[in-house]
Amino acid sequence: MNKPIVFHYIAKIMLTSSALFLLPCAVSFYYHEKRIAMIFLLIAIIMAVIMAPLTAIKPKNKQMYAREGLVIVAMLWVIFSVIGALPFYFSGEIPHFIDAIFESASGFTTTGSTILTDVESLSRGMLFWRSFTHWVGGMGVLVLAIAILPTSNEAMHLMSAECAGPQVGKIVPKGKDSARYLYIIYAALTVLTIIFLLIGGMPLFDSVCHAMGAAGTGGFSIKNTGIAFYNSAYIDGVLTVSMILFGVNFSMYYFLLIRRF
Amino acid sequence: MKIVIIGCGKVGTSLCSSLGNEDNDITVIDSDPKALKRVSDTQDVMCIEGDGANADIQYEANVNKAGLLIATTPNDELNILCCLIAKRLGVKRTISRVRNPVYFKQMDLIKEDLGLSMVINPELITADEIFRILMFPAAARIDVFAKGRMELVEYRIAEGSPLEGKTLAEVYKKNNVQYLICAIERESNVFIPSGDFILRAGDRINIAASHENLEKFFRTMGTLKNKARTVMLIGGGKICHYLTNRLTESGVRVKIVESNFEKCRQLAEELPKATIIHGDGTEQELLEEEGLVDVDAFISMTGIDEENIIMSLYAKKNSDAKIITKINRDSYNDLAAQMGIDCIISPKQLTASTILSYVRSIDTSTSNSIEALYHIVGNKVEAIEFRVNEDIKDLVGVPIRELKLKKNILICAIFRKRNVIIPNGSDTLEIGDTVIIIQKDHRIFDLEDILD
Repeated sequence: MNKPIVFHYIAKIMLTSSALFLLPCAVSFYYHEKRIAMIFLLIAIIMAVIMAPLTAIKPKNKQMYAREGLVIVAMLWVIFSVIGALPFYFSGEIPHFIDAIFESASGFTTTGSTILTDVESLSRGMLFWRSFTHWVGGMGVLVLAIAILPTSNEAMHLMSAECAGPQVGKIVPKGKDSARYLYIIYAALTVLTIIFLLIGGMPLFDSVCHAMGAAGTGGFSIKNTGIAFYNSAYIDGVLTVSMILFGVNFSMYYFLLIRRF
Repeated sequence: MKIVIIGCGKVGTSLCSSLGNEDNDITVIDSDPKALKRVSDTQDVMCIEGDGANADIQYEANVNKAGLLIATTPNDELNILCCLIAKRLGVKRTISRVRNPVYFKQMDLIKEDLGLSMVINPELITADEIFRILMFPAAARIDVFAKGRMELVEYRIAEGSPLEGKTLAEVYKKNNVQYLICAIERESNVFIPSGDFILRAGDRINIAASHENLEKFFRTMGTLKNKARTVMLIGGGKICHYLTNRLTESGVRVKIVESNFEKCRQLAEELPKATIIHGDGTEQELLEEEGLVDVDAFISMTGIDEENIIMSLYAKKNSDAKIITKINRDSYNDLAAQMGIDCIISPKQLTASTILSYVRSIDTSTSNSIEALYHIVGNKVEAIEFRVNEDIKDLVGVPIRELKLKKNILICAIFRKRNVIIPNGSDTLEIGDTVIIIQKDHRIFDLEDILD
């Protein structure tokens, strides 16, 4: 096992993903939740400050095999679950750390179970972060990393470890480009869902959170009563359709787009 | 560039890895799912299972939008057919591997009709390479630059050589010959050396100089060998066929040992000037009997790597002949080199590197100052020939020692009118010159790119 390279990649991916915290930070700031915004910002900064020097250590042996890929992927899921729990814990909105981890793991793995009895008591920033974990987890943390990171062949091993199943779902020759196209489709569909929810009279914040929940096929809601809160057949319909669309293999959309079916 | 490779055998796979590392989008077509799995596990390429000559499959691989199609299936006819279909679908260039000597001979006749950009015959390339080495046996490998005005040879520093333990600056000062050591291979690392680099025994150095200067260099080293007069070949395959033709043409006496009797008869008919011996080359007694001790060169090129290595080791021990070994598996190269077999020929690698050079030259044809491009030292180092024109005023007229070059870049030679200049720090580049840059790890498209 080439431990230095495993270490190097994890550090690199963590450094990139520290940027994930900036989005909920901006949302909190927008809704005047200064304390929550500061927590997100601090986590992002601390993570970047710790990881940046670690990525500078270049491993001598750059050889990477499927083994290393599997280890990186497995470790990242655990690490993400823990890191994702930090905002819940530090904001005090989920006082027990174990509970926070449960919530975050449930979010990233798009499981959708929750320990919260009163979701509505959470701040807007936290609600957004909860749904955002669904959105990121829906496509896979690593696909995001592959799309962003300037890696070449090594990404292959990560990708084949990340994607369950015998064949890597490639739509264009380069893994990195494939990941990018998939993310563009994913993001576009999410925006579409948001627009349709807005037309149904759902507030913007609620639309974004629910669209992200549907995109990850997870199901976190921001209301205690879930979608029933809105009491609208139209909204039920929009979400049902979007759930089905997000459940389909994304390669299909690509081939639909380039009219090669 | 988008590249489609049909057939992922040895050459196909090695092309995937070398081309894939250079920012190309590669799609591989093969009818064997196992072979595809092997490639897709290690390389960032897209795989499509199916018959390469099927237009639907080619369409699926986006051949119509690709810049290059390379056909390397085991079957010549299929390769040509694949290229023909791809050309109709709209690919810009096609390369086909053609092994059959009869087909290859008449390729010039039909190449244009078939729309082929390049036809590659691995056995012929290999035979040419071996022939070049036999003409200059002191070197382990020879590349020719600038229409033969400069040669680059690989030479292994033996134990007790006068070069051992010296820095390059000392070596240059000592003998009054114009040459440049432009790349050094030590184990599996490659260095582009500066003057304070200390040479060690076992290093494989790459020396650039004109042919006369190289002869002088080897004479001062005491290792100049004349070109081979008698050659013993083990294994009568296609390479042997091409090589024997070239050797007998230039008056070299050739002895071929082949174990298959039918093949021997065929060879005897086709190659009347060579001596054909029916026997097993791995039998040491036979080699002795046929005069292993007296031959100038011994070339083992049966289809089995292990046999070739063993025979070469035996020959090395029992004669002073120049020994050339054909090894197909990359992983054996380092091992064999450690055992003292320094001149290794791999048809697969030669084929891949010829194609790679071609692809790189398409890539760089957008830059108008590049004249030619060569891959040396096992594809790890590039030698690029540039024309110096008016656009690069920063470089012209400045002594080389004052240029701030990037790391791992060396100005190897300057051609001015008829002269070859191996530059030292005080030489300058002038408009109208042609210059050879040796570089590793960079992508250089313009002469200005060499500056830091």
